[in-house]
Amino acid sequence: MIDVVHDMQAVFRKLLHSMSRPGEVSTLKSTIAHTDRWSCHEATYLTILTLFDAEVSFHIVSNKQKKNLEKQIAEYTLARNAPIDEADFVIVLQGTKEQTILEAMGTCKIGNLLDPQHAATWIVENERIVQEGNLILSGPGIQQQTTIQLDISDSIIQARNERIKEFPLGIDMILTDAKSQVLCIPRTTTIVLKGGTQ
Amino acid sequence: MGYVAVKGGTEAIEASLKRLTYERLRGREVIEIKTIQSTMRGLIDQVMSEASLYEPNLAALAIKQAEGSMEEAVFLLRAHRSTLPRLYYSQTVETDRMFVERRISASFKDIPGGQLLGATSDYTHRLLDFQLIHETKEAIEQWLTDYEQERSPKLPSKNLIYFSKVVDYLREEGLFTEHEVDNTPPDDITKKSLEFPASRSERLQTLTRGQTGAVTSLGYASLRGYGQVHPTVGEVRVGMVPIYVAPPNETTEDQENDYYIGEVKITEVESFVPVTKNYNQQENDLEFEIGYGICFGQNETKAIAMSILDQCLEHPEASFPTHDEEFVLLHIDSVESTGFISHLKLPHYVTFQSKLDSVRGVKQEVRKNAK
Repeated sequence: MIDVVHDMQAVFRKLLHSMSRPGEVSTLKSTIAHTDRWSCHEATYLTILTLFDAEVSFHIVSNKQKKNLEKQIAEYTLARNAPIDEADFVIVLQGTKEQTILEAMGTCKIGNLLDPQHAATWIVENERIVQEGNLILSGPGIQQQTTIQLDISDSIIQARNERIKEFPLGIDMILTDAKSQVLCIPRTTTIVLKGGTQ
Repeated sequence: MGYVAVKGGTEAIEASLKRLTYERLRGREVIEIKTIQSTMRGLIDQVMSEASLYEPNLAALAIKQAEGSMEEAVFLLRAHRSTLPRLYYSQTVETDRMFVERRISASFKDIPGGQLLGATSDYTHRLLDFQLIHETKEAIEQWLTDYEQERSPKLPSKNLIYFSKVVDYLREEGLFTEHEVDNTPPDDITKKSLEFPASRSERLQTLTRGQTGAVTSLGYASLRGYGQVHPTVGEVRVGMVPIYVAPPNETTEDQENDYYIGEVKITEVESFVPVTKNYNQQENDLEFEIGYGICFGQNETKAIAMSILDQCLEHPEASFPTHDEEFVLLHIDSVESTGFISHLKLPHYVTFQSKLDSVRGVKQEVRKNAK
């Protein structure tokens, strides 16, 4: 069981904090032990339960069977499953092939100049998020720069950089890991690979 | 825009907030939410309508917290509304299914079902009742017992009759053009900001959540001559309408499966407005059109004024400001208008400095030339 009101508010505060301080890791925990089985990380479904309602649509990117999770999300949040080019939220489950993610990244919504908010927010699962690593973040909300380490490949980071080129268009990312950690990379954040260019 | 973030003043602000609480508490009286709810019907209805959230409990809380300030209470409730998850959309409400508490027509004396006055202050003398100063609970009880006894013991029959709309009688006579039911889903002004020209659904939504005073004065202005609409009230009805939602994640459209989630009290107005239509260039034909007004709670003045403005905005060709949708729709929202006016209290140090500079510059120039 999840204490829907209070847990979700706590999760929201943490997501908001991580979103305004890109690169800062927060740990999401529901106060009450859950009994329902979710085929994704705890941080992923807590984020989903917090941000989704009947107004939003989502798309799951995975190479595995995803029907059950789609059904579960729709039943819990009343959010609508949608094709990748319409989805407000794109969920990438852990273990998804690089090629599949790259294709989704190329077709997801990035908003338009009149309505840049009509862009997809990505929820990307990682095995482990580490503060300090090979990715250098800078931009609003970061003093000078900060570094992080993710499991996702460099080419995905490059594809992301490609999609945020034309600010205010772009995508915002919420990264989750198996230890219930989250880290956010909004579209305003610049990511540079250590020892390389953007 | 020349806004600059101003730092500092934190302590002064905290002290100000404390002072605000002090002002609310210094009388050493507690007003119960229940008391507000059962005695301040008009205030609650108005706050719910302007905030566009039907929740009498929270409206009462907002009134308490705002110390009765209308704009503040509406702001509080509107802010709360924006934090709520959106889970369902209700099914279309058919207002001829309303459980009518009051229903009058100014167009016809004899309407089938009759005029039902219900609770209204329309026929009161508007004299201050000084006896209310010393009203007691016992007196209230006594009055209520007497009233219940006086009310005939006849229980309402089990066969509820619905009051059909007054306009239906005119339709039968062919005095109204029959319009096809327009089932296009409404545009939601809480999700997409207004763009002009606005659709009728956007206009009606903006009008129904408009500030009561603003809607009333613009409706009045139109009536007095700054507009071309002078309606006759076909029908004012106040009562409860049931709200149903369809079960989520189901594709069947069987109404039997809908869930009843409660009822809301609304005021609905249909005004008849005579308009000239010319069908074949020469022939001018006089016909009636409807102005439609609706709002949460009992607020007849607002609903009637809304029906005038609705009809005004249907005819943008008239050259009056009340027929101009940008003029009407952008200025009647409580949070927007009070918010923009009160932003003037925020520091404008930089913008004002620059204005000051240019005035000084001009003056200097003038002085130099005079020499």
